[in-house]
Amino acid sequence: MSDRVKSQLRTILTATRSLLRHKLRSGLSILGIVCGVMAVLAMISIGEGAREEILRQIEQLGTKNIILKTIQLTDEQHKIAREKMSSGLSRYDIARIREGCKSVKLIAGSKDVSATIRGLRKEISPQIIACQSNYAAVQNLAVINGRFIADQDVVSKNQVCILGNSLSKRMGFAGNLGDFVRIDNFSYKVVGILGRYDRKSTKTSVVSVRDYNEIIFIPLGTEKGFYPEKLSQNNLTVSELDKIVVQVHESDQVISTSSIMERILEVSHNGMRDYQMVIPQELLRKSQATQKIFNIVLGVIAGISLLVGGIGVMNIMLATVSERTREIGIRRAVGATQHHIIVQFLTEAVILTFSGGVAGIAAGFLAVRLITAYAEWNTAITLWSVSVPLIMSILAGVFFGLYPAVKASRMDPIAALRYE
Amino acid sequence: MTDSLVYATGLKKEYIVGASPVLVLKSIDISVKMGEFVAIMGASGSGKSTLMHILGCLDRPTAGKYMFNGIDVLTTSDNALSQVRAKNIGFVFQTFNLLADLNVYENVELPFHYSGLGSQQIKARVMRSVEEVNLQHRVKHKPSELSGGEKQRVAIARALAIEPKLILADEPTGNLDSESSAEILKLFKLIHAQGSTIIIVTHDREVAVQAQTIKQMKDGIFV
Ligand SMILES: Nc1ncnc2c1ncn2[C@@H]1O[C@H](COP(=O)(O)OP(=O)(O)OP(=O)(O)O)[C@@H](O)[C@H]1O
Ligand SMILES: [Mg+2]
Repeated sequence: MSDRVKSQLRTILTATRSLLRHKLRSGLSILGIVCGVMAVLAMISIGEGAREEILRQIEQLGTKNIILKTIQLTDEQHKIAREKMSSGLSRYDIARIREGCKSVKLIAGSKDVSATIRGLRKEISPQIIACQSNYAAVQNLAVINGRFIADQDVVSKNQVCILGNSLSKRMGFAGNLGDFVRIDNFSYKVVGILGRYDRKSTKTSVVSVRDYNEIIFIPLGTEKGFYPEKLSQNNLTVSELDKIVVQVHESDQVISTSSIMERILEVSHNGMRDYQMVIPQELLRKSQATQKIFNIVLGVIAGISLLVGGIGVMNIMLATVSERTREIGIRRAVGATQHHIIVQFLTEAVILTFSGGVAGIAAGFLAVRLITAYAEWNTAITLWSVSVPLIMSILAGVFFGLYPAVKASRMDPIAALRYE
Repeated sequence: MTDSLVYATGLKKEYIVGASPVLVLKSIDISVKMGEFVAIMGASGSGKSTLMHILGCLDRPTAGKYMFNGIDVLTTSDNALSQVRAKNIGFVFQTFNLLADLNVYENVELPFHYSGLGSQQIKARVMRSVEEVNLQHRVKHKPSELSGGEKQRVAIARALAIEPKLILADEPTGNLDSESSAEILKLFKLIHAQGSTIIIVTHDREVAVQAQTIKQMKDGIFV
C-alpha cells in the first residue's frame, strides 16, 4: 500500500473515530439524511417500477398497432348516429382503411360476444370473441395446437373455435382438438388451442390487456345467430365490430397512418364519433411525459429533504469545530496546513452523510419491500435508485461540511492554542 | 548570522485591544546557534509565550526581521511555514497539549501526518522517541491514564520524533511537581547533549541554570 493511500485511510479512520466518540449526536444529526435518502430511493424505485410496467403493457398492446374501439353511445347519441347513418365500426371501415393506407400490414376486426356456453359446469363462463384471421398476429397470440381462425372460416361461417390455454385445460373433455363446444344453440368444433399468454398487467394497469388464457375465439360473423331478437329490440343499432386492430409495417408509420385513418373514418361515419382511437405508442409518449413531471417532483422533494438533513449535519459540524478548537491549534502547531484541517473536517462531514446515505439505502430497501407487499405497487430497485441517493448524500456532506471546515481552517492557531 | 539557526532583530508584536494597540514585544534581538540551549525567564505577561510562538513560526511579528534556518519567515507563505513546523520545529507546552482521543503512540505520530515520510521510517522514529522518554510500555495508553510528568514526556517524545532543528519548550515544568520537573529537566539535558537546539521558557531558576544562556525578559524586551 502506498503511503498516500495509507495517509488517506488514516484521515478516514481519525474522522470515524472522532464521530464515534459522540455516537448519539452523530446518529441524530444524520437522521435527516437517512430519511431523505430513503425517500429518494423509494421514489425512484416506485417510478422505475411504474415505468417498467407501463412499458410492458404498452408493448403488449403493440407499439406498431393502432386500435379502434366502438364507443357505447347514449340514447341521445344513438338518434344522431342513426340520422348520420353511422352504426359503429364495421367491415366497411376495414376495407376502406386497407384501401386508403399503404402502410397497413395487418388488420383484424373483432366483436365481443355474450352467449352462454352450454353443457359445462357453472363456474366456467368464458368470454367469447368473434374475430378475423389476423387477430392472433396483431395481438401476438401463438397457437400451440391446431390452428387459428382462417379467412375461409369467416367467409364460410364455419363453426370452429380456438380455446385459450388455461380454459382448454379446465374444460377437460371439451377442451381437446376435435371436441365440440356448445355456444348458445350451436356446436363449435375445437380446431386450435392457444399457448400460455403472459398477461403483464396488474391492478394498477393504465390500460387493460385481456386475459387471453380464458377466451374462446370464433370466426367473425358466426355470432350473428346468437341474438337475432336482441337486434330488433328498441330498434337499436348494434355495431358490427367492437374493435379493429391495425398493424403497420414500421413503428414510425404509426402517427401518419393514424391521421389518415382519422380522415377516412370521419368521412365514412359522416362525422359521427362513435369510435375511439387508441395508439399505444402515444400512450408511451404520454407516460414518458408524466414520468418527467414525476422526476421533477421527486427531485424537489429529494432536494428539500437533503437540504434539511444537510443543515442538520452542518449544525453538528459547527459545534464540533468549536469544541475542538484546541485540537485544531495543536494540529496547526505540529505542522498541519489550513488545507489539512479542511480535509479533516470535510472528511468527517462526508463520512457522516455517507453513513446516513448507507442507512437510508437500507431503510429504503425495507420501505420498498413494504410498499410492494402492502400497496401491491410494482417497484424496481435499479442501479439508479441506489446510486443517485448515495451520491447525493456524499455531495451533501461536501456542500454542508465545507463552511464548518473552512471556518476551522481559518482559526488563528495561537488563539486556538490559548483557547480554554 | 549565517551560522545561526534562529536570527531575529527588532521583533515587535502589537495586539489591538479595543481601539488601543498593546505592544507586547517591543524590540527583541535574539540569535541562537545550532546546538545551543537557551533559557528565557521573565515575569508573567512579559511576552515570553508570544516570542516563542513567533520563533516557532506559528505567529508573525508585527515588525522586525526573523530568519529561521536560513529562510525569511516574514516573506514565507503560511503553507510553507506549516511545512517548516512539521519538519523542523518541536513544541513542548506547559499544558502538554496532547490529543485526548489518541493513545501515546498516536500522539507522538501526529506530526508525521503532515510531513511526507515513509511509514516504516515513521514507525521507527516514533518508537525510538517513545523509548527515549522511557514510555515504551505505555504506548497504548490514552493521555487520561497518564500522570502529568508522563504526559509531558509524551509531549517531548512528540517534539523529538520528527528530529527537529529546534525544540521550543514553554514552561514545560510549570504544571509539574518537583520530582517530575527534575525528570523532565534531565531529559532536556540529555536531548541537548545529543546535539539538539533548545529554547526553554521557565520560571524556575534551577531549570534555567542548566542552559548555556539565560535571557531575562521584561515588558517585551530582553534586559
Ligand atoms: N490575542 C491577544 N490579544 C491581546 N493581548 C494579548 C493577546 N495574546 C497575548 N496578549 C497579551 O500579551 C502579553 C504577553 O502574553 P504572553 O502570553 O506572551 O506572556 P507570558 O510572558 O508568556 O506570560 P506567562 O508567564 O503568564 O505565560 C499579555 O499581557 C497578554 O495579555
Ligand atoms: Mg506564557
